[in-house]
Amino acid sequence: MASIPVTVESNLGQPREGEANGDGRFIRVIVADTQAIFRAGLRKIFALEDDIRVVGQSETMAQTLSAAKKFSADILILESALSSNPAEALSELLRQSPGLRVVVVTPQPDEELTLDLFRRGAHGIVSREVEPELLVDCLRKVAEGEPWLDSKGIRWVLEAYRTQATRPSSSRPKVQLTPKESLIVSCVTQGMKNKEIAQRVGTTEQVVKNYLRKVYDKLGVADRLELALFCLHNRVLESSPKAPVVPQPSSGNGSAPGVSAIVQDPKTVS
Amino acid sequence: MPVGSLVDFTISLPADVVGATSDVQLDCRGRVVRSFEEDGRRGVGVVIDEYRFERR
Repeated sequence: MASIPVTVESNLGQPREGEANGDGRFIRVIVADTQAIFRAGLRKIFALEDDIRVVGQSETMAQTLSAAKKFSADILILESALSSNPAEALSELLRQSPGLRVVVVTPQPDEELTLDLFRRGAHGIVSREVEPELLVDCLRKVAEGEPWLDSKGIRWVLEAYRTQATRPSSSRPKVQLTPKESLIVSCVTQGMKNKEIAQRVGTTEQVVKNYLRKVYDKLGVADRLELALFCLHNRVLESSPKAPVVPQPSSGNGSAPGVSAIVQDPKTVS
Repeated sequence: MPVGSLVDFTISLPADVVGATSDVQLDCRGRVVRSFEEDGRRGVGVVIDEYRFERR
């Protein structure tokens, strides 16, 4: 495939007579598509519309990012095939140009991709077989700040919304600990010291520390207290092997600067 | 409960949550940093400064 530079219309910023006067009524569009014939087709379609102007085009993701930065467009028409991970590409685009509205063109209707793109901030999603008139309508609606989905896409989004509403509140993905990590976490949350855990597991204190560092990273916690609270809220040790408690009156003292907890109804706090 | 109050409280970690044969108590000491009342329920946000696992 031939590489093209990011291009700009020669009449950019120079409204033609009888058209919008440049006070913001033009819908400035970047066309990002891997196929030259599709880009050319869109340009022909938009050329018939007084209020739509193609200000740039690109055929790779790198060019698209560059075009979005270079031209102050209102809408970017992004072919999903431009990236192996179109949802991530969309996020990157919107991180770089948060004011840009992105209409994603997908090869065919795809529920998972539609939901992912919509969650990440796509303003419009159309299939490649979209009728030209519908695409023009789509651009006008998106330019006005409205979202654009076909009826199937709307159904998918509503269904996902309904499903989400009935799902348990914790959406954090379940963290997988190895059996040994689970055992060590279990020991920690029972207040055992590293030396005791090492004896229990049959290893050295240093190995326990190494395991703990890995577990902290996995779970995103900073210390034993956070680890215990994480276990309390996320039940990561359910169905893990039980570790016997070493009979001692108390241990595991710690200071925890910065660790916070919400205590509902202080009357019940002992 | 005014912000800045010192509080002692105990968090109970159920046995099945910590993979133990009995519940574990976590004795904490902290400071109230937020206090609110909503729909008849009172709540406080507490920063835990010290803690101790109470083992049995």
